[in-house]
Amino acid sequence: MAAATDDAGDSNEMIRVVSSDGEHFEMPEAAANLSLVLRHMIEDDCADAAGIPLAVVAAKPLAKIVDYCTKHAAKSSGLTIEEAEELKRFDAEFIEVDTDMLYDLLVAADFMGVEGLSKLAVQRTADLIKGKTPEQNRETFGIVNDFTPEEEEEICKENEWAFQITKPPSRLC
Amino acid sequence: MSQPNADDDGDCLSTLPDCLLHTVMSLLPARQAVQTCALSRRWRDLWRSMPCLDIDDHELRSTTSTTSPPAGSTPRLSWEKLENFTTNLRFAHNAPFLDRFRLHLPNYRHIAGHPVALETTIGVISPRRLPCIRSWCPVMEAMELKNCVLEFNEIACGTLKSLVIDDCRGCSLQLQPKALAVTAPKLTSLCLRLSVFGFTVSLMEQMISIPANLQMFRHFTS
Repeated sequence: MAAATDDAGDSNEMIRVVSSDGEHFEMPEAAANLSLVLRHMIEDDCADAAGIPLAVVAAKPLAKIVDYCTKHAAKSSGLTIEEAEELKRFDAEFIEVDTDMLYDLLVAADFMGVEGLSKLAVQRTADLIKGKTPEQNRETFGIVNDFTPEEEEEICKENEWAFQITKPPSRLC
Repeated sequence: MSQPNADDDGDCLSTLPDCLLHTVMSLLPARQAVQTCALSRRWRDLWRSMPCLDIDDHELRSTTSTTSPPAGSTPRLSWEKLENFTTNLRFAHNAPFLDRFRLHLPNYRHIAGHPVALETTIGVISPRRLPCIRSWCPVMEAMELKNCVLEFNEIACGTLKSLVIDDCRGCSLQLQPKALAVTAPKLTSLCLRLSVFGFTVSLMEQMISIPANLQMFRHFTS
């Protein structure tokens, strides 16, 4: 990132990317450099006018990722305390998404190698799970309970120590 | 905070690769991570191979998980619960490697009365338990002890590179100043912040070839 912003010629260049569903996006090179995959493509001279194709990232999450990278690249160095706080607020607001988008961001950030966004999405997922019962988590993430009653009983018995010792196994899950 | 709606089309989260789910689970306290076993078949054994464990005494007392602990639960009961949880966790967890192991005991004073439990829990620092912990965590490179009452007098670990002992003290029941021997041939970083006098730390000869960034604060004498 630092290299990109130091180099005045490159930092103004716009990089085009194409989502899996054919939508085109543009972002400054400094922003694209926040993605490991895009950075390597740029270094290998694969960034041309046609745009870098991202086969597994659909337009919706890609638009978010372009937003994220553009914002973070613009504020990458020499942050004042206020700017750092503003960026924090941006992140907090940015990641207030539904579970579908959260899932898309988890996959896309991992695929594109955007470390900051990966961490943000992973933390958000963990925060959604924290402090909830398995039943509440199933509801949040649409997880289907595919255990047979026998299996469920077995799991509850096996892992009773991690639930409430005094609680009857049948109510654990 | 807006609550995301359940996905009607299916469960996307469970389709993520193990490594991504492990990253998510690594941010959960251990108890909550284990509880993911009850979600579905996909999740049943996932926690067993997660590379980070974060055991927090506070979590085991808190009401956030499934139910509240019995009212008026005594420190001793809490300790037993923690010990029981940790022992079970160690038996059932079978990751090939461990990136991070954190044991957080905010009310550490209770440790003093339960030396055996301490050894069981963080046997890594007790020579007698060392073989046991080695098989569980054979490549530990960093250890941080904060706010602990140390019931042991030796830390021995062949792979340890970084050791932090922060605000720890020896068992108050002992009249003699306690010496803590550290045997860690690969140690490159040692940070000591000891707030209680009458606690000495000696470094075993074979370990010290002047660690690069040895930091010592507020020493210990007697």
